[in-house]
Amino acid sequence: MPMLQSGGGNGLVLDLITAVKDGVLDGVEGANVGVGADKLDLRMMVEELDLAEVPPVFICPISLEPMLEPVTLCTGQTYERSNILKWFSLGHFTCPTTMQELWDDSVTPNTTLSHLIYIWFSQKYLIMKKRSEDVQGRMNELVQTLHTVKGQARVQALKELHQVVEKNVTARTTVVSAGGIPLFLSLLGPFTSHIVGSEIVAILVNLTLDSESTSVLLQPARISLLVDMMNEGSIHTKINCAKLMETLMEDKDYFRSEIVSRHSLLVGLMRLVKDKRYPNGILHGLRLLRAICLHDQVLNLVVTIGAVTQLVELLPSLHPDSLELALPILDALAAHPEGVLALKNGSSTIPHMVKLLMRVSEPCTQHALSILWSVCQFAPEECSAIAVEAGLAARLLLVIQSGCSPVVKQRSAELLKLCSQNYSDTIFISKCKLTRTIQ
Amino acid sequence: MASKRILKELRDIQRDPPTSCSAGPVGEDMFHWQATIIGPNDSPYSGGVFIATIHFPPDYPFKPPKVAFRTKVFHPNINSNGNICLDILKDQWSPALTISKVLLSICSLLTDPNPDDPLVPEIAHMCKTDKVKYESMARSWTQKYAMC
Repeated sequence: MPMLQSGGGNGLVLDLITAVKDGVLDGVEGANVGVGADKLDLRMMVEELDLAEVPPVFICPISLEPMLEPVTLCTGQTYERSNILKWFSLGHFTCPTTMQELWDDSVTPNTTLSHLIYIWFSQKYLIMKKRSEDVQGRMNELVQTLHTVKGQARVQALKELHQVVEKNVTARTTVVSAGGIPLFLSLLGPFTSHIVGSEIVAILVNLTLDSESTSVLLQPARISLLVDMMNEGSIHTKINCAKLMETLMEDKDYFRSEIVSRHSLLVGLMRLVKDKRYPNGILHGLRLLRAICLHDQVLNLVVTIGAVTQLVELLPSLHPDSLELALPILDALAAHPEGVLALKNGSSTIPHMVKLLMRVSEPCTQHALSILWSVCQFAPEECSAIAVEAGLAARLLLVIQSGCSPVVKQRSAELLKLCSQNYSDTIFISKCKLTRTIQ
Repeated sequence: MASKRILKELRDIQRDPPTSCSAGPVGEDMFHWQATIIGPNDSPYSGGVFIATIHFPPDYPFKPPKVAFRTKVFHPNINSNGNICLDILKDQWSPALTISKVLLSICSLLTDPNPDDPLVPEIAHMCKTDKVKYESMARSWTQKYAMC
């Protein structure tokens, strides 16, 4: 029978039955689970529950998933039958956990553990079912309440909906089927207070909006409210507004670029992106900005509000996830005449881009190269000199030697050639710092 | 099974990252990760930030992942292509091992090289015969290639 350490830290080894009785495995009272009712399917329960905190003794060391058919080897280690048999079929006769050679390759079904896993999941599943029924009832009740209440009572109802919808999938589907979305949209308008608006937006970002709902949200009065909240709301409200706007931009039928061609929206968005206290805000702000920059008509306005310089200055402090969003934005702006001019005029542009080569990921290297290429082509003599002084040549040689894609290597070679044109061979080779790069 | 297991490892590594290591997918491809290893304090690699790539085979975890350094490392068990000579990445692989455990093994390889099973015989020879010179070279490479 499988053994496990007691949680008490006194080194006591318990068998599973004792562990259950003493509450080490969450005190499963299994005697009455499934009795008299239809027997629940373990696989279905495991998939539906998707629990993070499954007792380690239930987890197969090979798949890291709960075991449906546990079998024990001669070493005393237990695995999911199909996984250990696959390991054997590949010609390995070792115990994966202990690495011991097996003196007996038979596998023994671990019925005690199997029973315990079934009981534990059944109990959790029945609790979840009960909870989800309670949630459905409460969600329906709250949606109905919103039809009649006003003022503080409305805010409270929305707050509760927001909290539950954020965490619970059942709550989301219930709210949608209870007609929640049209109701929330009817509450959003030019005279909606920010406190109500922010709760509605926090709910909407968790729901799947259909095309009709999107078209309603894209009406000018509602967009104005979102823009106001993005400028004046709390950090959570700003993030939710950015998320919702990004979702709205995905609707190809109703979305038009004029909707985001608003000075106040872009200013609010840049304020969110520059607030280093909230990395999550930066991430969602950049995601929305990237979606906006896919629309050529808006690029000019993005440059006009000084976004290029601000983004370049932000680069050294950005997390890799955010860098992978910021660089494509700058790359898109570099393809625009005003954008490339702003990049060229920024004193930090070239040094920052050079530093990013081979630093974060291949896509980042590709975008940084593309930006450097645009800037150096725009003003070859001036920019090539700055780039070479910033160590570009050495970095490009590293890229060419690396395992990057042929496209990236080709672009590096072209940029290297472009930069070398303003130097004699001897000076350029000395600038490459070859001894430091290739050893 | 591979993608499910890789996703599970990603969740675990994010929830409880191993000391001085981090890892995660490169872009959308869950089978291609990048890892960052901070040079162990009690080694000549201290202060360095070493980048490695991880490629999971389609039949992971029944076959080992391919791990290679992208940052140059002066080490008897790591060659100029970044290949690593580590038993658990070859014949001693077990499907019960995880990327987290592999990264910790690589960290301990940086602290305790194995010159008796070298990938770079010259460095192994130096490590055995002139430890001071080996450590000085390793420190110098770390400063040159693994420091921002």
